[in-house]
Amino acid sequence: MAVKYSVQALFIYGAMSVYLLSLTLSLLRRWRAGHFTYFAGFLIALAGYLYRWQHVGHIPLQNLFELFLGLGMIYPVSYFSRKVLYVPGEAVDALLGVIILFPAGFIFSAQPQNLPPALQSPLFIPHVMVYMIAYIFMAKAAVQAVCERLAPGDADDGSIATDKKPSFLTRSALEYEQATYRMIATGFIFLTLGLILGSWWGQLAWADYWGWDPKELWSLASWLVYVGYFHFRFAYQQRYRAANSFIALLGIVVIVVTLLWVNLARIFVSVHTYSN
Amino acid sequence: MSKNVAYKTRITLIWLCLACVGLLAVLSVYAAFLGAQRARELFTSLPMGFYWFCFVIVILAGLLTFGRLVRRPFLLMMHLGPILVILASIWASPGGYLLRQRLFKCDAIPRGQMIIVEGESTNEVYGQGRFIGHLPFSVTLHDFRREFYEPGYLMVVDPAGATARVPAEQGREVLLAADGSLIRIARHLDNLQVVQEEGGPAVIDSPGEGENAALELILQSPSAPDRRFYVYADRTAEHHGPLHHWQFIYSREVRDYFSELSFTDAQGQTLQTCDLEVNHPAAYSGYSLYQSSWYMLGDRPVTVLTVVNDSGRSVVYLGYWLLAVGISGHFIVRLYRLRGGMKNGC
Repeated sequence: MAVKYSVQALFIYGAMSVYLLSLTLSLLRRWRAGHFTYFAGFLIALAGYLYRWQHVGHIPLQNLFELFLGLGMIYPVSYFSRKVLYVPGEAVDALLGVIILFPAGFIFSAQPQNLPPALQSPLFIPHVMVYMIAYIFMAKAAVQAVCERLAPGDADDGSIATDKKPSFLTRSALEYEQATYRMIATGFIFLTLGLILGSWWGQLAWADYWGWDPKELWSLASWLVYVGYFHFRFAYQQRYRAANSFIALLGIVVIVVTLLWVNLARIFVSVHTYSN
Repeated sequence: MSKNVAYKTRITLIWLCLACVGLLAVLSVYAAFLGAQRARELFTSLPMGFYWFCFVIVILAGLLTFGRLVRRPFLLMMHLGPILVILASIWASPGGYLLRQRLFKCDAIPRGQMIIVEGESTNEVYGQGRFIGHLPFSVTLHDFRREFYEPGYLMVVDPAGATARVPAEQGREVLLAADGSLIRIARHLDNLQVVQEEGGPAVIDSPGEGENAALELILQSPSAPDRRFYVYADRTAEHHGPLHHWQFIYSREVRDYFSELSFTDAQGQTLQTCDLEVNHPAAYSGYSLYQSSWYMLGDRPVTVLTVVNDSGRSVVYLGYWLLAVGISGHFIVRLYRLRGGMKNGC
């Protein structure tokens, strides 16, 4: 872990600082200022991403540094979640932005790399992009699942029981559970598309639509966790909210392993190791 | 059937489905630690064949039990998709191939590799180092081309193993010792040739056909006159310059590589020509050919192609389409309805 001294790093640290400012403003209940600061953080992260694109000469989606740089632009998913899915939480999203940008700013190597022949595919961009979008949705779903666990349940008369309720939670456990479902339902579309696009690309590049590669297997496992989530929730609806939230959290754990451990741990021999 | 029995049947079926999904997730995680080859062996083994069969049965039972899975097109599509993918994968698996061989006397080669030297043709297919069979057509490699990222880089390794790396650009220098000795890149040659001139042999960058990329380096030392020497690209041997125990390596990263192929029938008649490259396979007579790898045999390039029988793949793709459209359509409609409910304050 080291501080980087480059223009690229300046963009990353700038975005992280502004995201933190946005979080602080939101905690102080300056919602409007918090929102604009969050958007400013996104613009800085976007500028950093475009700078990287210009610097390496191809869309920066090749290695973990570039992937996390892209994931740091979380604002469009936040906006979509708030406006379309009615799932707010920009303050937490700003915190997620800081957490995501941290490894790009301090850990992963920013050394530019040339694209190997296998990555020069029209499927490269959509495959990685849909996975990035899916991961952000699933991370947001996990946050909602944690809130569901922390929030009080609905009282018998339908009102929200306010005793023992943490001050930063504004809704009931039931609402958080439903928000978790909406985030997972949206993310699952992208997760499925990512899996299928990857399989199609594998067929074109390596003559195999399924190579049983560790990364593929972990991706399949994360997809299956969410398949389990939908079936369990279909069977019991909100009767076992804790179990629903547990599966949502298990999903993000498997995703983190898929994204990080498979690429960083040497125990996995994978065709995806170019992304180290 | 009473409502209670129907409910219990449905719950049992969902738990069976969850068991199948859970087992597959656990096995996937386990197999990830085994590596791709052993994972493939595990998932295509006979016990797993039974598992896949049970998985399909559970999904089919679900379609029969839950009426709305059939009535709603998106739900039907997302459940039919995995069935098609599993069945087509079984069909294309080694076990499925053996079964087809016995039942239908199928003699197609499921998968293998072709190794073709530039200018030669073959129809032999190999797998895991041994001969598998002949294709019904021959493949000729007319030309093999490589493209490189420019510039490459020059790596200088000192006797202690310390490495310096600079872009292979004219004028770049690497300091060798504290006394000021250095290596300077004088020029890059695409096709180094040695010709006889009046003053003796001379090195030129030949504009003609051929490829012999090299760097001309100058060793500059305060205590000795300049010395000129050359390092060749992409040779397996590392080049030792005039300095003993120093190594100079000129490397280039491959941007892409192409095989110019033609397919000929048993009578030697050329039926199709194509340029093959990574991510752009060619299909011919029920087989797909993929640019897999390459190497040099002396001065002659050798291309390595992967040959795969296409049988069953279109069904897999159909399964993918059903899965993608089914899941996207179902959840978009569902989220749209939920959104309407929330807008109305329900």
